[in-house]
Amino acid sequence: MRTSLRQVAERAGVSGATVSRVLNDVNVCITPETRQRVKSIAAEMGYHPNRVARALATGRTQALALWIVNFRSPYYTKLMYYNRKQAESAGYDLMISGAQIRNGGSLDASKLVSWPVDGILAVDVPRGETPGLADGLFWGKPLVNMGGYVTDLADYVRLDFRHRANEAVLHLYEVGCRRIAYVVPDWFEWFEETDDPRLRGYQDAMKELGFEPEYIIIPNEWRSTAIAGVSAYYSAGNRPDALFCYNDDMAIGAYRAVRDLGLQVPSDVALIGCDGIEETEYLDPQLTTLEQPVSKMCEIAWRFMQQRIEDPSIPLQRAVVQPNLLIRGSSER
Amino acid sequence: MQVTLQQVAKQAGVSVSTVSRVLNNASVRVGPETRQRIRDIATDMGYRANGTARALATGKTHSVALWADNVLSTYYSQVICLLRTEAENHGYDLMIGKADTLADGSINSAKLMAWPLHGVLTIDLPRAHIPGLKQSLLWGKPFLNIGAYAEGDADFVKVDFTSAVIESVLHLDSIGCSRIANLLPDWLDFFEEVGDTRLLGYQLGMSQVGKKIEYIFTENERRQGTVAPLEAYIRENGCPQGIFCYNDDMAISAHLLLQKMGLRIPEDVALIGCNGIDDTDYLYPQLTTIVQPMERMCAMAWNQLEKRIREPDCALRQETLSAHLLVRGSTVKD
Repeated sequence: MRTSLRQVAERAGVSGATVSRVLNDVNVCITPETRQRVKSIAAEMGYHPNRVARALATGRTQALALWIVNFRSPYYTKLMYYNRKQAESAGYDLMISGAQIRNGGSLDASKLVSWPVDGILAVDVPRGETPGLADGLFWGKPLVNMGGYVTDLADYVRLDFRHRANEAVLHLYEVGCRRIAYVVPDWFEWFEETDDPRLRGYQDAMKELGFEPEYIIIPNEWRSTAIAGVSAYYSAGNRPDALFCYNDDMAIGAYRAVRDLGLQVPSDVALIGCDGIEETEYLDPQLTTLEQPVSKMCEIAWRFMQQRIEDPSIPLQRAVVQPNLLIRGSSER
Repeated sequence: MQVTLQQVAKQAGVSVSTVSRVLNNASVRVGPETRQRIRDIATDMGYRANGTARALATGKTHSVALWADNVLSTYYSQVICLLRTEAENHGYDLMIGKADTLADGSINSAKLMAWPLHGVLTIDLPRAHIPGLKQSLLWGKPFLNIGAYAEGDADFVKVDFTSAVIESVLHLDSIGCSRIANLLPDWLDFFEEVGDTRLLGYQLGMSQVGKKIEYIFTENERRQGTVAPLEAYIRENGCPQGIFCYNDDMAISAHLLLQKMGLRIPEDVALIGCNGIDDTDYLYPQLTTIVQPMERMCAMAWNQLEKRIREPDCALRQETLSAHLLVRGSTVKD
């Protein structure tokens, strides 16, 4: 049988209202000891408020969805970690979902929007149409997006790589590199469409230096494919002395390919990645990278979300954050 | 204006119940093309089920909660990724929660249980009293735990490291390591209490090769907590020729530190990690490690959880899988 609020109150020797306030984390004057005691008794008796009924009554479920395309990369893991941290401190639960892409390339979000959540945090919204998204609401639910690729139909926290990518390439020149190639996934059509900041930053710098851009094009953004692609490129007799890489995963793959060919990092080939995942610290030499301010990005996104939930009609909220060029052993000569 | 199921059915030229079954991933004799077409039409028209109302009507949201404590570690993120794929393939959503520990040390599941969930999965749940857990039902909902420390009155898929760790110690001995140390967090009481199979494997292996046990304690099980204690230990005691590490994160941290200290891997010190995370492939030399059968563990866990969702009172199923040793550059001397 289901335990009622009244039974918990009776056992704890307090009023039903006190139990309700404690379990809903309402900020009123109740001592920490009483709070703890009520929580313990409720847990022991198996009492839990009916959140669905409460959600129907209040219109809020105190849960958010986190929408991510690719979970396997450590960068997305980091984003999940910081989003969950924010959610927890605000008393929210977080559901995770992968974006599903339909045959025509548009997003299938029918399942996502039917979830009982108060809003959706989206990371790197994929290209293509997003039916139902307008004025910060996705089929009526607040949506805040963050990352390198965002849509301006909703609140966003955008990460702009352009200036730092430019700086990174100039840094490679300053340490003596004269043939600086860009290791990049084969998504040029999309890069043109989105005016991709990493690509632009690289192109700007190469132009400034009077060099022709040189691309090592990889089928996707993974480590394993980067190993094969970079290895094949060098084996064909090409000898760039520096590699700027689209992300850390590809840089880690390139690092392995270069070492396997008997070349040294950084003396034969200097390397720079993007994102700043933890693993870059544990390579020898450590990897120079454009570190994303993930924690800050999540904090801002969270603030935007709370404001949008509070008042869905406010004007669109926007923020742009910059990565940080972290110079380490892989590019120091 | 809210689009109705009837409008979608009319547009697709099928019955309302077919639309409903397709959108709810229920079984219905409809080809994949038709399924996709109905989904596309529903999306284009902006049809969406009222999740809250449906949850209230059925008591279910088609979601499963996952309790994991440390989502930042690569091992946990790999397991979470695999479980999410399982969930998706079976038409479920995953909610990521964290176990809340009460002052008396017991686990509080009240907040989680307030959701209309189908079940709860946990990875390495802290060892504590879990009120409401009986015969793999947590307050009546299917519950299953996985990982090295799975146990209790519940279904589980557990990983046993014993034989792989024994093999690791014998392997280090065979390549000529005279001292073989175990790098581990300072949780010996806990390890002894739960019969930690990594510790057990190390002790059994060392007794087989007739060597003296040598522990190097770290602050915790993470990368950052490993560097200072390991460095201090080596400065004081010299470096053992072989080190078996509690997990890959600690081994990766040791890998960098040892090279910085001017020690060569594997010539001066051979190194073995544990778990088999992707990161171990990308070190130079690659890390020898003990690989957990993560894919298998997650697939088995999901099968069993679904079974318990269908038959809440079915017999307990407690499986144990063995990890295996993968020898690579960090322990192979030329």
